[in-house]
Amino acid sequence: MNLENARVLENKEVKPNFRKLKLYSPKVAAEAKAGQFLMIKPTVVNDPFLGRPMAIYDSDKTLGIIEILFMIKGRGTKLLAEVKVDDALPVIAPLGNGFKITETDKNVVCIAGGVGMAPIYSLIKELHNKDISNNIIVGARTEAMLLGLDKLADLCMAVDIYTDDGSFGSKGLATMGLENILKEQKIDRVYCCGSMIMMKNVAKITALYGIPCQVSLEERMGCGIGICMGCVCGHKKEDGSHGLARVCYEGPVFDAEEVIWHE
Amino acid sequence: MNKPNLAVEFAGIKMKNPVMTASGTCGYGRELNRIFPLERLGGISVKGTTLEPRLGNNMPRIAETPAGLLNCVGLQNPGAVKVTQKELPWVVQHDLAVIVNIAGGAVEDYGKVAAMVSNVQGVAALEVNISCPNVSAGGMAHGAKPETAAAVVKEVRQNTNLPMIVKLSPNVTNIVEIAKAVEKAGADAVSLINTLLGMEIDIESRSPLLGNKVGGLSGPAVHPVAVRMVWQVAQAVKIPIIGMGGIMTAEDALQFMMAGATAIAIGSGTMVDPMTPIKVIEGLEEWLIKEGIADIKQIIGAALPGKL
Ligand SMILES: Cc1cc2nc3c(=O)[nH]c(=O)nc-3n(C[C@H](O)[C@H](O)[C@H](O)COP(=O)(O)OP(=O)(O)OC[C@H]3O[C@@H](n4cnc5c(N)ncnc54)[C@H](O)[C@@H]3O)c2cc1C
Ligand SMILES: Cc1cc2nc3c(=O)[nH]c(=O)nc-3n(C[C@H](O)[C@H](O)[C@H](O)COP(=O)(O)O)c2cc1C
Ligand code: FES
Repeated sequence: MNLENARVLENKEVKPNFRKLKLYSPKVAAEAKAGQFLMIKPTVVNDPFLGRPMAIYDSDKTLGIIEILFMIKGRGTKLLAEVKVDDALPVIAPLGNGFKITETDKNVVCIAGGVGMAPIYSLIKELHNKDISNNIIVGARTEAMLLGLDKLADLCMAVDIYTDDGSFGSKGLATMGLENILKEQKIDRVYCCGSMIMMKNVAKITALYGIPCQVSLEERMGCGIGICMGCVCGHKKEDGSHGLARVCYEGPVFDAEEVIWHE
Repeated sequence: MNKPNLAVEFAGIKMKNPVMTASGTCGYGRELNRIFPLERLGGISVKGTTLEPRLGNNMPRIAETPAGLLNCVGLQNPGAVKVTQKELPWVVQHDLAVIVNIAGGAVEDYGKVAAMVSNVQGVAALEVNISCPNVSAGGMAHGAKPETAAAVVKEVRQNTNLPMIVKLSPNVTNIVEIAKAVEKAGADAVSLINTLLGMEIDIESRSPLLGNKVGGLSGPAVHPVAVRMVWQVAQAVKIPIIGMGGIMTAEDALQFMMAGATAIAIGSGTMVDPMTPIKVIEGLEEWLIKEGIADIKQIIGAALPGKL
């Protein structure tokens, strides 16, 4: 883990309301694993007070570069959208446990919902480097919220696309695509990052098919480093007892069967 | 000039510098120890420990506010048995003052936890939390009145020989009265302030944002309130004070010490930048050198009436 001021190399709109930041941060780039995140602030003064958790979208060890992909939501991300090239942004990274890749896997599924593409893209890249065959499903409410397709095209990866309104790809939910694949192919593992409802449904489906699944959870965070107990989720322990786990420290990636979903 | 002396000693607690991390913002030290050697700190006040394990409040537990945050963690902790068997033996191996923050529902619970913690070798002191705004039973209710505060202090006193620090709530009409009452009941020191009760409403859902509806405010927003309270309490009691509330820099810490605090603790500041306590220690040293002061003890209470 590093605490440093990362220099902004590029701040670019990728879709209306979505931006990508390229940061020079060699130490983080060297350590980052797929599914890990950072705590980032748009300014060096403590306003806004808390860091914002953001997945590491991409990293390049040789160039010392990391990228984040984010939606403009409230005050913090609005300020993040306005940072200039050469600004120094405080980051703490890489944080949390990323996705666990099993080298012996032959064929897996990656599902990204909306901005959930951020951690999933870095996973896709790693699976690609390891020559693990991967079925990619991308879901979004509408075409304007489909992210990362340019990068996937650069990797020459085929993608199964779903939009709620049918504005791009198939009309419907990404989970439909998952069921189709699970019916037809032998799948070793499923990875997912998207809305809580999407991940909950993916967890349900994979449980039904008896296929291991990892999800990357989202929760409001105070510290991001495990010291405040601000970010817990319901969690089944190995002995079956129910407890709590810190999304920032034990997570953000969990085995889906360990997660106790709300409602 | 030689290196100034940063060490402080109060109520039988020795610290190599006056800087501690505040309870609830440093766990039991394990996570911070991966970022800097825990020994750099003067002390650590570990997460509030209750007799039984507590799961704490529902999410969300954190809301950002102007210059601070609200939290309603609600004393999530594994309970006194696990804390004394698994957590404390680890943290006491390190060369710093380990202060165990204890909380309870019933008054007897405080006594039981105090007794259990006192059996762990190497604990420097107890910090009795009668000021947690995040638990319905007990917590702040005990700290709200001089009589109930004194009752908890007496119960703990009977169950421990360790130095006893009593952590005061700012959510009272007159904090000086409470401080005097706990001093009389046998407290060896007081720490202040705990968080200020507050609330955030999510205007989209038109409902309170936090899982517990209300939460405790901390961070720079509370600093002037906390400094004022330390300054008032310092004039009313003889026992030493640990000051906290919104410390981000050495200058913030110096205000507390000049107001009469012998040591200081950093909570929210550690959460937003885990190196804050180290930066404060280094900043204090630099300030003393710049001012030509050989010993930090010389500035304690400098801003109190009669000291000017
Ligand atoms: C592990 C993790 C990875 C994430 N990765 C990404 C990513 O790659 N891209 C992206 O666009 N978003 C991501 N998010 C969500 C992102 O952190 C929030 O959208 C962001 O914090 C909103 O900040 P704001 O100031 O714009 O919103 P405000 O609503 O003004 O924020 C107020 C407070 O609430 C917190 N908050 C609000 N919404 C969320 C949320 N959905 N999740 C967590 N905290 C929230 C903020 O951090 C801040 O402390 C991630 C969240 C987590 C937990
Ligand atoms: C997330 C969080 C958890 C806390 N938990 C405790 C606790 O368990 N016991 C306690 O006495 N105080 C607790 N506090 C209060 C702090 O120890 C401290 O008194 C207060 O936050 C003011 O200091 P600060 O502004 O530096 O954070 C907590 C504060 C925060 C922010
Ligand atoms: S955000 Fe503080 S423990 Fe996870």
